[in-house]
Amino acid sequence: MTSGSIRTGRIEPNQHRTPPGRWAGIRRAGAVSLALALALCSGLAQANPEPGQLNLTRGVTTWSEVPYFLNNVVLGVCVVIGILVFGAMFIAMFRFRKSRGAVPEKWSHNTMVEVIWTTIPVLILVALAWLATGGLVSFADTTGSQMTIKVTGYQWKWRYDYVDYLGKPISKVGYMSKLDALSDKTRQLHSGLDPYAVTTDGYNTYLINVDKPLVLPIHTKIRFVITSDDVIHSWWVPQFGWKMDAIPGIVNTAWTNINETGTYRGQCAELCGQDHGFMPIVVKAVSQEDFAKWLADQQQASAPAPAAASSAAAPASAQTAAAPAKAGNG
Amino acid sequence: MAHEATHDHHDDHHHHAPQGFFQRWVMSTNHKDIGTLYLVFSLLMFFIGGSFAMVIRAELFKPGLDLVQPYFFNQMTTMHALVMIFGAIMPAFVGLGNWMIPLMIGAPDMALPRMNNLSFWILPFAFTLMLSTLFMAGGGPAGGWTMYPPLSLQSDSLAYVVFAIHLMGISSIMGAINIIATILNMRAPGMDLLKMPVFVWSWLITAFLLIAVMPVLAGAVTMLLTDKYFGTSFFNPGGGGDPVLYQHVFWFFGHPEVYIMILPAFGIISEIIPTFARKPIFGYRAMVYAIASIAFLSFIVWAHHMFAVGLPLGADIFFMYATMLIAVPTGVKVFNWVATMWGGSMTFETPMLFAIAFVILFTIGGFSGLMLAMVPADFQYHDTYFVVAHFHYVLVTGAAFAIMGATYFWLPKWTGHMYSEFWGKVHFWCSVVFVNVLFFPQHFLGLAGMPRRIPDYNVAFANFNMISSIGGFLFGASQLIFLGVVVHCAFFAKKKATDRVWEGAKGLEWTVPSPAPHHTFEVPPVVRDEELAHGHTDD
Amino acid sequence: MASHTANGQIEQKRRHGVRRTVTVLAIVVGAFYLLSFAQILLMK
Repeated sequence: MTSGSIRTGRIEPNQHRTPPGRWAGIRRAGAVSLALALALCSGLAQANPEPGQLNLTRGVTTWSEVPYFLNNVVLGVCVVIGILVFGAMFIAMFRFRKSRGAVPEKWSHNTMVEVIWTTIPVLILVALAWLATGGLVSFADTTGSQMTIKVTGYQWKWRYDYVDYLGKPISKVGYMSKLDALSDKTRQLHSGLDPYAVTTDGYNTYLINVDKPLVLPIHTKIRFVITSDDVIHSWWVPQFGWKMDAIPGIVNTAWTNINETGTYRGQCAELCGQDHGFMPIVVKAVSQEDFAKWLADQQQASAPAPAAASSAAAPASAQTAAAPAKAGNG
Repeated sequence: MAHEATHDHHDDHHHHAPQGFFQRWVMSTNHKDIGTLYLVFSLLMFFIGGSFAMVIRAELFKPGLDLVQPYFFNQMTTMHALVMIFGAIMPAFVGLGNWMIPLMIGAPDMALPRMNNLSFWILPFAFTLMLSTLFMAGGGPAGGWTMYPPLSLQSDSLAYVVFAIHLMGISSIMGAINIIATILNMRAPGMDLLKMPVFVWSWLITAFLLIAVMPVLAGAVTMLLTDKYFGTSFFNPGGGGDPVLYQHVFWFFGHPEVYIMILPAFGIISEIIPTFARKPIFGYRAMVYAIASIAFLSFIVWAHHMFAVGLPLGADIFFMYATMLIAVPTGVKVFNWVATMWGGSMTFETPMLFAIAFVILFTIGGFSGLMLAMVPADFQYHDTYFVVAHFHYVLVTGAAFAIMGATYFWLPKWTGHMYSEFWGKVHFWCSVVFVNVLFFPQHFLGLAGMPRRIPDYNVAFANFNMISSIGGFLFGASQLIFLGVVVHCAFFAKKKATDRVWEGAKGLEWTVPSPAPHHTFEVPPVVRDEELAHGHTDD
Repeated sequence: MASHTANGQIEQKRRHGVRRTVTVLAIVVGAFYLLSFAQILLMK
């Protein structure tokens, strides 16, 4: 595998950790269009997805507000336009029926009206584009990260490697994460087991639980470098607000900065073969102190085992080894 | 008057049709017979593809795997898409084009009748080849209809599917060449380009899209084939290739393909609404220009299917803006349809009902399309059921509803008999209710985080999946009513159709007898502007 | 079918037009097919 095929992430504008403030304000203001969804979300902060959930999750990171807010704004715009257009249609259908004696008029164009309904959508779109572009630029800015995690997709499990934390490289901390045993047993064809019985802490985790979750600290800007060892996968935790494809031969980057401790669940979001539906993602977000302790334990546990050498390049292939090298610059 | 010449054939119109079944249907060079073949084939594929959808919805009825293995489930989603796109929607539009374009422009037949026969008869073989893989040891294709490598290269049936797609592509390209050659050269004197029905315009533009993108699809799948069997590394990172390049090439085909499936629908709706509103279409030229701009824009938005692959920031922004721009001409079309209805004198026969449902439900699909265009939000929506809901609103309540509306609209012209208005309306109301029960909850599933193409799911998604499945079964069953109405109209209906069929119908196709005789417009008709649907193009 | 057309002049014009259209379109098809390969090679 040649290094020529590695594409280096994205253009990184020279902004330094800008977005959280702006979006946090909006978040605290609680500008929400779908009150029902909000009520469902606020009830169980841990639980995701919600039974009967109607809207996007607002997420738990500094950036996850962006898609949530944008979703609500565009949805609102669409609802308003929809009411106007469909309203006009229904009025027309009621007023101009032959059975009510309507006589067809002859006109078939009106330049004024046509100019208006071409211009107004353009103005709306410009406003939406402005909002979306801001959010996109902040997402693309992976600079200033305090930690790097390498995510590798396999058919059908994930591998997590801890590359660096607070400027210090980490070696030998990395592991596979796959569907938990109970879900796996239950999901077999004609297993006879009840999916409703697969619970963790009173919350149903059928197909969204793993044997070993990814442990991350909160209030830390974490950079992910994402790649794959076989086919294309996509790493997605809805509470983080984004998904990023894991593509063999390519290293993609993304970042997150989690606000609250908790367990956040997602799934592979790119068809990757027969068990595509069975490779969930679980992130356990803990406080920085707990994380430091956990990391020390992991390093200690792996230290005496020579077999686990160079965990960062564990799936030994040239293109994955490029990730830590790149991470060093970041 | 040209109609006198065609009226001569009215009494003995079977005279010219070949007598034997084989002669008539297999050897046919007649645009009407070939159009019928396309439409019958498309209906058959609609039910085959629909049966795959029933398997999908049955498995998703409740959490837990109850019916099929995940790999077979993936074959079903893949085959459902391939059959519906290439077997049901596209041939239906080609069939409608075959039947109606020569009638609408006053041509005696398609420009290349023998090629027309060939482009149809390739299709049954292509689909036999593709569907046969389901009965083979390794199973059918299971990597999704987009066939992204490296996953698609793991499939044993790749070669079958690639060859089937080559055949379908050749068929589509020949059909498109035929349609362009017909429209550009075979119009009756006086049928200026800007007096043509919008349906003909939409097909002209669609045919150009087909010609531009089907060869690109052929190229992309050829590279898959050589990657798998001949050791090339177009998409293999191990050999210096790039899997993302496939996606770029595929979606350069794929996005225009989406419009190939909707532009003729725009044309159909633009014929049906003025007919039943008894008022000329609002802004004829704007409608034509809007179709042309949508077609142009479709070439520069392909990467909006790929926002999650990690495009550079600049590319994300460019493709987002270009995609959002499409909302403008699409909006113009919707506003113009509403304005056509405004001030009209409307009646609500089945074709009109389908057209109105199209405008409302397609617009809902357009709204979710606009939401998907916003890249940060798309990071959440991408590859979830929100996308599934979006494109089914566009393709089922969009393209398929337009095809059904067109069928009711022109069926009396084809068969010479009126279909049962009562059962047509029953079919409409069942379809429009159940299709929303089927697809609307999928928006919620996607927003809540359910990925596409999964055979089983967490119990949090259970309620909406069950509602969706029930809607799916009932929508599927409703289509049997459609079959019944069509078969009844073609073989058993007693009520004769008049030549004009609908009170407000305008255009050359309504000047020929019902049923349309085997040969029409052998002498080019004299075109009189006031008889055309769009004769006065002062706007 | 075209051979039934009474007006020979129109028939002639159509025949020429169709031939020209098909030639141009066939070239376009071939060009786009090759373009898909060219795109891959150029982006390497």
